[in-house]
Amino acid sequence: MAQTNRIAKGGRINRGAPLTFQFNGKNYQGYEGDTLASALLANDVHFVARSWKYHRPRGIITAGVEEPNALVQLESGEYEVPNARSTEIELYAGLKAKSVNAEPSIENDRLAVNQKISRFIPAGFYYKTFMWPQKMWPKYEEFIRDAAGLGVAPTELDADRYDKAFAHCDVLVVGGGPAGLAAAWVAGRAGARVILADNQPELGGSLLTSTEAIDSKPALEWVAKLEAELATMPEVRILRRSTVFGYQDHNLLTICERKTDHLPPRQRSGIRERVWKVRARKVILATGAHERPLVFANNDLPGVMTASAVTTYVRRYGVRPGKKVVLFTNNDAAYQTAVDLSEAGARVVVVDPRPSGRGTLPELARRLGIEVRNQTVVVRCGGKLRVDKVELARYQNGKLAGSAGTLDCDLVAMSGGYNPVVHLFAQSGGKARWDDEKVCFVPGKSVQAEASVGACNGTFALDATLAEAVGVANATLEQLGFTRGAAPVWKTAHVDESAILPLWLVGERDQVGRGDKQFVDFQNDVSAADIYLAAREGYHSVEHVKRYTAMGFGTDQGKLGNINGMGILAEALNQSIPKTGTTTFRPNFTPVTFGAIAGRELGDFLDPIRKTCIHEWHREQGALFEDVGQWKRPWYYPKPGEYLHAAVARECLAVRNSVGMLDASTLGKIDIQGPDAAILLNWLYTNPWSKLEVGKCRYGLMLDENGMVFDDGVTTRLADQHYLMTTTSGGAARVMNWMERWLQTEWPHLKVHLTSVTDHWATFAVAGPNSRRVLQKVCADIDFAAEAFPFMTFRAGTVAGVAARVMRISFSGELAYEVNVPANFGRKVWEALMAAGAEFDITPYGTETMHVLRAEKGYIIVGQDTDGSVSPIDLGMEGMVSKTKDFLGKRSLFRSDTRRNDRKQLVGLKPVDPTVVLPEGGQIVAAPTSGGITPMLGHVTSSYYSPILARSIAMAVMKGGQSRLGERAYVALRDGQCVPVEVCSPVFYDVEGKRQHV
Amino acid sequence: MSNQLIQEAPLVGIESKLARVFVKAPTSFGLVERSFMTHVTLRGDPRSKTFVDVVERTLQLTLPAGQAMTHSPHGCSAVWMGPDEWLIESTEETGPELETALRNALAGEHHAVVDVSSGFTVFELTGPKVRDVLAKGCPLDLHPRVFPVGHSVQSHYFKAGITLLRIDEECYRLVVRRSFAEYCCLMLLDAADEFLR
Repeated sequence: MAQTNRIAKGGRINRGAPLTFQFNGKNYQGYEGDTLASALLANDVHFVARSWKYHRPRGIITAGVEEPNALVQLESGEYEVPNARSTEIELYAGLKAKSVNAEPSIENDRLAVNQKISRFIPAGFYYKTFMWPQKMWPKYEEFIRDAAGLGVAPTELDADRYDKAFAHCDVLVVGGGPAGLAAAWVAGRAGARVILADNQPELGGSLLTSTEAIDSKPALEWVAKLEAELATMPEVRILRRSTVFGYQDHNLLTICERKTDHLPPRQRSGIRERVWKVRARKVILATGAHERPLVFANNDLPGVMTASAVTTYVRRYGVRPGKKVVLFTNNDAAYQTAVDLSEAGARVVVVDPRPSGRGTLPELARRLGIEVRNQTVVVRCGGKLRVDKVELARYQNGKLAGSAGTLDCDLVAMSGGYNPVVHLFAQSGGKARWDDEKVCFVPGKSVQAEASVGACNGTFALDATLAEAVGVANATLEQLGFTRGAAPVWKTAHVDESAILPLWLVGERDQVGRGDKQFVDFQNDVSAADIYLAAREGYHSVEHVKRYTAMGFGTDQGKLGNINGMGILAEALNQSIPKTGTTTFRPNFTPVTFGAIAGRELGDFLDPIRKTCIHEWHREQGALFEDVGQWKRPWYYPKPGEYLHAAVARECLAVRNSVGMLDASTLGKIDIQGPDAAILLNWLYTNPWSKLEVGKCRYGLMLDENGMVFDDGVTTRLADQHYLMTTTSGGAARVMNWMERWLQTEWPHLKVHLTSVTDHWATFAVAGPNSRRVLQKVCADIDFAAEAFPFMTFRAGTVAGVAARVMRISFSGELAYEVNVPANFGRKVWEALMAAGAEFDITPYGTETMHVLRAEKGYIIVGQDTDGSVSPIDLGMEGMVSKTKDFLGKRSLFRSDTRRNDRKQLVGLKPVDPTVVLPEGGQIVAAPTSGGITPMLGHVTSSYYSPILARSIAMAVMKGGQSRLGERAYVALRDGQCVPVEVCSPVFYDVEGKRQHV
Repeated sequence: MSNQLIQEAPLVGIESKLARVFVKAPTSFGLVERSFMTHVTLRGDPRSKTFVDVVERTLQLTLPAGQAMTHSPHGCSAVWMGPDEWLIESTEETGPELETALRNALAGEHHAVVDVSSGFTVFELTGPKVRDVLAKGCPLDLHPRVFPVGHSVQSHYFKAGITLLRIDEECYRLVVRRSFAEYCCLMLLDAADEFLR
């Protein structure tokens, strides 16, 4: 299809590389270097979208990041991108896009009917309309959910790869236009580490569309020269296609670099997007300015665009978006667009509310014979799917003064002045300041180490911009301790300008809402009438008006319309704009993909997977693994044909009847040394430690400040001033931090040092009646006789030729030993123990069996049977709480709430039917119940089938449980049934504890 | 050294993957595990002249007082880990040997010395892209102006705690806890993916 709007020559497109693409199912042609928007306009496609609420026809309105309308669903399947801005999509061969928010097509959009009822659905209508009848709400909600939103979330897994990188620099320059380039060049030349980030594929910013000259040469030659010199500076990094989307605390800025989006999906490889997290000593913001639309009736028709966008399409892309153009402006800068269009062969009429002035550009326009109608405004556009005429009015003393006729046209270019892009400045914590002369918000006082230069600082003229950028860059160098070079001399022509005329609502204030809609926020369908309605209904804070009208929400966050909205609100409230203020500018400047935010930390990379030194052996034996914190622990070792239940029964009985071995290397281990070690232990644990002899082990409970159990474990006194503490597998780091915190903040006088040795020591629990005989076979230098090496003691020796620490401790209630060897030797020792145990059919067992064995003995697992609200008294472990010494959490044990005797207390539960295994988490009730409100007495914390007892057992916490032993209770199941249980002691097996002492 | 016959390095589970990745010996990024090095954690008060003198005499090196590492003529080095903590590394002596030597020499002086040789492993990272690979998971500034040869820092690589040592212009050593070694190595390989193609 012919590109009817393409100008014969010019623009930064590659006419040698035509590209075919598809939009809404139709094929078109564009060129390499086009955006999707410029290629559509080249094909005279203006009507590209339906608006969010009223489903009005909408066109491309800008040429950049501020675009509210021309959103598309780009590609499909694993490359699908919702709400992509066609003004930013670089065209590639085979690109496929379709309009969002229009079904089945934008021509036959089902919800286009909303236009007819738009009078009845103004701002806030849904707060009032969908209130009654209340029971209809689910239906309303279904409809609203369906109707709301723009693009559609992709359903397939993203095929692309995303990553992140940290970066550091002396100066981060945001924006590669004249100001940013000049600042980066000055800083880079002095040897500073510079990052220059620009969101376009090529540097130059406003100069890409400018006719101005620097040093009497086209400005782009200056850009090329600086770019080439920057490339030779080793400490300068240039990030193109990179949007700085967040300015966080401590000069941390986040950048999204788009590396492959400009390529056809099948040609992409490597990383699609990279998020840079940059710490900059100083930030120079050179983010430019966005042009404001003007607010008049039907200003949202396709074919109504900002003037700067028209210039961009003409000069950068070689596209003339219209032939008969009305340019409506309140400032001199937009006259450039008239000149550009005129040179491109379009007929232009300029409509300007101001009297005739003597500015450089208006003079140039008049010399070119362009018709200028001063003291005139556009009050209304006409047309159905595209603008075809405008109605004019005379404008005198700030008021409309009667009709000034109509003009036929196919394009309206509008300019209401420029808004400096103060978003990043505001995100940095700075407050924007209203400048009456420039009629815009400019950056106020800096809060972080940053400075704004050029248009984003309200400095619009090129000569002033370059001077400001050089000045700020030099001051920055001085602050950072670099030697500045000689100031560059870049000569530019001075442009004279007449003052801009503030123009917010173009129309009678008392007629607002009567005629056609005058749009302020195009993406959220907010009109001037909606703002007046909000003001009438009492919303005076700009933040309230935003939320009542939805102005400034959406994917564009009000980049285009917000300042107009504030101007109109100020008029409606008869107050100044500074008094009205702005809404808060928050990160992100533009939407960031979830992929970029996630980076590589997906799947197995989401969190570290920690493995013990026996992991490969477990895997070779076919173990299934369980996640315990970040650790992978063997869960059970199924033999062929075995499921969990059979494997666990076999493992349990092996330990009870012969011998089993558990890899307990994940236990947290903390080496404690120093003369005050026992004092520290006395503070940490509830029981006394002063009299523990060298070579002995003791179990301890640790409480938090609230007196609640937060960790437990066995600590061994290795030598006079040397202890080894063990913690739960998941709690190691927490306990270490807890101990260091107290040592460093409260007890710095204690002479004690802590060292984490969790990773150094591999720990194997050899448990069962035959464990002694297994160890005797591989360890000659320890006497394992019962009286020589009693329960809860420690011996150093050599196991399988490796220096080892052996503790006689038990978490199963059986005769058991814990063998500790350095992890590098772990596998050798493990295999030697397995070989030595072969004659006793030694059985490796996993965490599930460990859980069953300890539950049979009523041993708690912190974090399973406790939840941070369980005290040692609740656990029936009052005997472990010292009455004679102080310890962390002790005072809390004497609070009235902690002393209550109806607190949830640890008990055992025996289902009356011994084959029924209760669900963990099941609620305990006093009597069978069905429906209604039933007091819950507690819940099941651990529940298993015990192979040695041949019945089901459970541990639970239950209100006043310790006084209910022997009573009947019920556990409610999800299906409504209740299982009768007997409340009992949590110790189910070997109640006297004889087995571990043999 | 006979110990090495029965020792097993933490990366045993991904040895074949490592071999595959580096079969072509890429020049831009290299990763080698320096397993079985001796690591001993030393804690003590640097304001005590006795403590410092004894350690320095025993190890034949100067204890670093800031984020740096020092070396002895005999394959021993000391890495500053904090105001009262050093990681002593050795390629000559075993952990128990070094532990005993220091403990005996420091008798009577408040200190702690703990053999943690099996608790850590070391990756040696080389090549012109090392900094780029590290920058994907380590938030610190590793520019030569800030992190010169001989410097050491504790930081993290993605979610694994690390100690990073700058050995040479394009050579870094990353000390990581044993149980995090495989995760850390896989993250490094993943980050280096674009340089290994």
